[in-house]
Amino acid sequence: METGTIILIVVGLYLLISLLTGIIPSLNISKSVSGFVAGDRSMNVVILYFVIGASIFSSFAFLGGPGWAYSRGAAAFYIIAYGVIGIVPLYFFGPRAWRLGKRYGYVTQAELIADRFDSKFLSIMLAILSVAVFIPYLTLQMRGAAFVLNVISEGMIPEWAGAAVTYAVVLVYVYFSGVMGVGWSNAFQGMFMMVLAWILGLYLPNALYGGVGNMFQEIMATGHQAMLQAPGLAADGSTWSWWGYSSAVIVSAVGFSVWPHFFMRSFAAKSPKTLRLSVVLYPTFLLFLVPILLIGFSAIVMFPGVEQADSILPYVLMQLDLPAVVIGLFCAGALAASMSSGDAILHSAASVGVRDGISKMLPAPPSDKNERLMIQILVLVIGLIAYLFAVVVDISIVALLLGSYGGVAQIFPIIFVMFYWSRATKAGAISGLMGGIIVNTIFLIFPEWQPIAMHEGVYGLIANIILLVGVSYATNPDPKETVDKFMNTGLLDK
Amino acid sequence: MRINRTKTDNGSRTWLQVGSKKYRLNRIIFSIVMILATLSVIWPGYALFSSATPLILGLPLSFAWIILWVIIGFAAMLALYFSDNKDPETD
Repeated sequence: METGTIILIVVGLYLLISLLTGIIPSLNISKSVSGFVAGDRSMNVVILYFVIGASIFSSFAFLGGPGWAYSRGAAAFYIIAYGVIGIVPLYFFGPRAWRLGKRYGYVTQAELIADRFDSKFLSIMLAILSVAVFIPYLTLQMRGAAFVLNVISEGMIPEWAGAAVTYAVVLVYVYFSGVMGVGWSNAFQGMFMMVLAWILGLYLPNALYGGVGNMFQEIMATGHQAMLQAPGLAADGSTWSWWGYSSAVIVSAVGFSVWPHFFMRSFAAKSPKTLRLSVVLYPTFLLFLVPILLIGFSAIVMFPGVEQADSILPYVLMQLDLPAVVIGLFCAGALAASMSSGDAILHSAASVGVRDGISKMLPAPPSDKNERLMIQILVLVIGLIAYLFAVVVDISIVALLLGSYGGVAQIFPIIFVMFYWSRATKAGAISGLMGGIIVNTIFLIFPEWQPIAMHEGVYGLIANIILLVGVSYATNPDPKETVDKFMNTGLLDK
Repeated sequence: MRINRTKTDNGSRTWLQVGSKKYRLNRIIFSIVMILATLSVIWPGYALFSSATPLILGLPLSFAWIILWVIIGFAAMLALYFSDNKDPETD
């Protein structure tokens, strides 16, 4: 059979299984908002583990990770470094959020915050922030999928078609099954990616250099030793500064646990224990980034001068004389990475957009049935907008997305004080979040204004915390009843 | 099941007053390990182990060092999880 046909069959089979694993759970889930957004709080450890894990295995990890290792060397370790610290807050926030959700019916992050600080404004603001960040994020996932299909098929599958087919599958299972569709398909996609990552990550260094150690020795012997010295190279190829590296790790770690699509999975867990165990097991998922980075390193000596670093994985695959089935499998693996993040983002963007944005702006709260329908419609609308950005509108969104990390990190202080600081007030929370986002954005647009060059999110966080604490002390405490409702959630009987 | 715990006079408790003595001690130890982990994967800790050589199990020192802290972080979380499960007040 022809190579192209075999690849297409493998990819087609993968898409079919994704579709089935995504649709089947819809049969077991109630037709309510809670069913669609939080899976009736029924996710077990296996599903939750993959949902949490797959969120880091996005197109960025599969394409960008090897790309960073290839072009920036040790800088790529940053992706692993922040994950191990960044996941920890969820161990403590998660069960608290879960108990509140169970008791008061919350299904999103903004609902918690808006109730604690009695502010519709905060809810709508967080909804706008989330959707604004999620659309470019989703666009990137689509472009990643389209790109891989295009390169591997040697142009046979145009990018518009690649993105359309892959994301039609995602749209269907997210539309029908909500978060449980995301969960089950992620479990399948996650296992698939993990196996492929390890096979390829160990195969390439062995095939090309005779081992991982030999590969690194070869990299150093050919004059790339500086690259392997932490913190590696900056985007322009100069040495990355410790300030730049450390601040990037801190901001990413702070923001990690409060990404709305990530945080809201706390509500989907079957029990706090389930949630905790999934969080605890997360670092095992993180270790799967190791072979992914090895793929990028393996190309440094053998395939120098590839301009577009993000294309290094499909590039290497095409250079090697691999059987068509294998290429097809890796192609599907890259799609799995894209889809397992894309579906979660799409689902959350629509849920948050309706539940925390549109519903809050309506004169009367919509019925459960209508709200669910609105979320489903928004799934389609957001999918379409992201698709248009991905294939029609030609703007660079990578910078936009990287900039959004600093913005999302600004949510962390409010979540923290919600559970741990009784003196925080509504005015403090609003001014902290607003101030943080404004300062972050200013330093993002005008990096030359920074006293010390580092991640703009650090400046945002400093402004955020000062305002949050200062304004809170300057205003009257929030009602004790509300505060206690959120503070006393650390233990079983509360 | 309820066991004795410290309470402030108005009934609300800060996080340091929650739970049994062992529960609090475990959290303090865990916090120290995680602060160490943080300082180890950024400056200054990482700066001390930032070199490409020697190769450890085939990986550059700078790579192996980060992986080591992922494993330490994993072990610390696992230990906390099991100790929490033994505490009748948590779930």
